[in-house]
Amino acid sequence: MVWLKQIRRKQTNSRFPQIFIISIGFLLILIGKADVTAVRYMQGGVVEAVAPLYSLLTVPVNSMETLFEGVQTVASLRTEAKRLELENERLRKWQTVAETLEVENRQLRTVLGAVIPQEWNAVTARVIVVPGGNFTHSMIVEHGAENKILRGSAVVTAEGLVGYVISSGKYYSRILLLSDVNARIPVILSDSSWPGLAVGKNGLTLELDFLPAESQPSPNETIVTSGHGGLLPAGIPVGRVTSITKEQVLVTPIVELRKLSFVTILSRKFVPEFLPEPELSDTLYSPLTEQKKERLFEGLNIREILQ
Amino acid sequence: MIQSQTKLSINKFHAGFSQRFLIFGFGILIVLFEIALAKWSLFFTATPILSLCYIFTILLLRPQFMSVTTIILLALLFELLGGDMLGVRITAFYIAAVVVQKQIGSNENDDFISNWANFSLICFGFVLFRLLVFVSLYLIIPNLSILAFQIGITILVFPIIFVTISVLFSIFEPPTHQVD
Repeated sequence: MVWLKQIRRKQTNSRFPQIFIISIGFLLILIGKADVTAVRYMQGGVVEAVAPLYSLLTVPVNSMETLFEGVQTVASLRTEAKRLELENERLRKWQTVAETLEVENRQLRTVLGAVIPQEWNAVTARVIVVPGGNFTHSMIVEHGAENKILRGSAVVTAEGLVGYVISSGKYYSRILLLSDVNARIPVILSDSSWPGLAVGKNGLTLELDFLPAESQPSPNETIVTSGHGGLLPAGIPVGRVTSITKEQVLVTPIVELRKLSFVTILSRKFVPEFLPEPELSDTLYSPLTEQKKERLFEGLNIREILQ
Repeated sequence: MIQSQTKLSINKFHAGFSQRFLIFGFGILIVLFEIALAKWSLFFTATPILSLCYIFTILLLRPQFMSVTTIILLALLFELLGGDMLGVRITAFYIAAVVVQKQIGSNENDDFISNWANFSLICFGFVLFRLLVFVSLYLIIPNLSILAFQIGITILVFPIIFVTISVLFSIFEPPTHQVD
């Protein structure tokens, strides 16, 4: 009996560190989920320290990709040439259309008195780290607080919205892609102007939530940012409606997220009064306080909504 | 006599520490390379899990060089740099390491094919664990085809890493049993 007890005690002793480490792991999961500020700072610190070394390591990967692309290009050179000829012809037609529309647009602006928004700064940044796993869709770009890039700044390319900045160090920033499960982008349907929320699903498509029941999105309809909340500028293309069922409306992002090399980060020149300074406050995403009487996006203020 | 024994044990400790440190340093490079692979559009959100291949191989070939600290630090580095869910990879790696040490590592006579099959199971379990945590945290199922691709590509890459590390060990380590 004594030897049996000893064996049991030995087993218990050897299992304790394992259980302890696994418990620590689960504790970290909870801390990470709670989005503790200290963890964010730690992440920022590690990124600042390791990112320069990482930049060096991307060189061989880029070379490998270029090599493979080169081999593919040579193989399909003739088909490519024909395709390019056709595309060139099509683009010339589009150029003529675009020039005509540009003139028309300018004339309409003068008629309507619309002003091109001047309050946004644009910084072009190189993408360093892109998501390697399907559980988190975020990336790291060059430039941080030193270039006045703040948390919440919109990230775009020439095609449309990529995501927004979730943390910004001195020289590097982390961007949450719009395909991430945590991304919520206020949008409107471009044809009918019904508002909705584009929600990431950690996949190739986004889901359009909170659409009013009477809205009828059509296939291939473009959705653009609504500007609601004041964080993102209005009118940036987000995606196209690709699937409409009773349960859900799916949207494919306009930007090809797999091929991002450079992005443009838009940040406000002046932070409006209703939007707290992101770096100074952690209450960026909290509801507006009642005593502030600024107008909200639908022309109502909080007091009117509550009434 | 005692002094010489103490000196010998200190030398052994230093040699073991430097070897472990080398394994850790090489592991950091593997982790960074794994993250870098995502820039290749083919591997966007589905890079082969090189760090798991590395840890598994070292645990099979030279388990004494792969400490718990190394495993935890490598996982933590990936989580912080890659923006992954904090703690999930650490827990998954540790559980995988315990399973390898307890179940697979004891069968020294396993050939490469059985090691490969065991690794496939570990890899599947690793991704499944992360999927379960993700689903329980966000109540949403991510794109499973991407996960399947990631598992597949990792299993395909494993032999390359296994053979490379085996060759490196055979080059850099002197033979242990010398015939006089």
